[in-house]
Amino acid sequence: MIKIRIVSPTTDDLLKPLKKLEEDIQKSITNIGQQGHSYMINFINNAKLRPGGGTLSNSIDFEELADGCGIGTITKLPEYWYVINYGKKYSPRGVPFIPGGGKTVRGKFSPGEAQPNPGSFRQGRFVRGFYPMQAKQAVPAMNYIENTMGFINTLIERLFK
Amino acid sequence: MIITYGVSRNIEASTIDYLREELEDSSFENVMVTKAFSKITDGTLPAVCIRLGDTFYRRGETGSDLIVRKPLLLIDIFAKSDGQRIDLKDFIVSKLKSGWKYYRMKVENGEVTEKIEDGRIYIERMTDVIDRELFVENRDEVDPIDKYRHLISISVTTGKMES
Repeated sequence: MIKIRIVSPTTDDLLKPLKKLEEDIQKSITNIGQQGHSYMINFINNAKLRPGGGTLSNSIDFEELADGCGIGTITKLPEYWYVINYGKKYSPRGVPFIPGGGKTVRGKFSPGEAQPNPGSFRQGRFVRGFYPMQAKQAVPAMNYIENTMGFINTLIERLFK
Repeated sequence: MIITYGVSRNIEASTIDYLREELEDSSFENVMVTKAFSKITDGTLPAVCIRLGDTFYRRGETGSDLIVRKPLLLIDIFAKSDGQRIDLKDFIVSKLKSGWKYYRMKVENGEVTEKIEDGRIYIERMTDVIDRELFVENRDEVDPIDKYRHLISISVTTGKMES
């Protein structure tokens, strides 16, 4: 005679594969977050118009959270992060981080031709100096947040396919 | 010199043309629709700036070199008031949600000389966010151009496989 014994699985047995799946998804999400972090830094560095700098891209950190991950702690970013992302118009009445608050200031460009002129456009960065200058043109929108979100969404889509 | 637009520029130009026509036929008055951010910041309100962000790709078929592109479209709204900002945002979302025509274009001296309909542009994902002035306590201090802004970002595709 063949004896058959039926063993019912415990709740733990049922949950085991689900827990494994949850761990795997969390690992993948962290990996996607890390890729997004690198993407954002590279995006900013590739899009900047003048040599040097890097304050914004260097201050973007990555953090693993209990339910996901985060890129860029706002309190650690220079306050002009949103101006670079959304683009803003210089105004003598507002935008506090602009040298001189948008008013005429004395400065020069370094490296490259110190005196501001169209021929040496974007050779250097603004530093305090001799020449009176007033920023008039709007800061173009870089949209590094939206582009990084696009990149992350593409990776998440692939993960759940 | 005749320039034949590539897929990215066709998507961008088709979207600008479509929204420009829809806004002209709407109750909104004199809304400038353009690609150039600098034209808006030197111009008058209300205005809409449409430009292409990064493009992401997926394989069309397993083991094939065919690709399907998914560019990111960024639509910046510059309004005259907070109410207009919300109305413009809702209007644009309502006009985009069902997709719009994709055209292949040829341009000579800045003028479109050929515009051939070649399918549709579809939305894969859409987000809209208010562009708040985070570090200015008094809104009256902000330049009028930046006072009431909204950003819609859309992942789009034509669904076409490209070799």
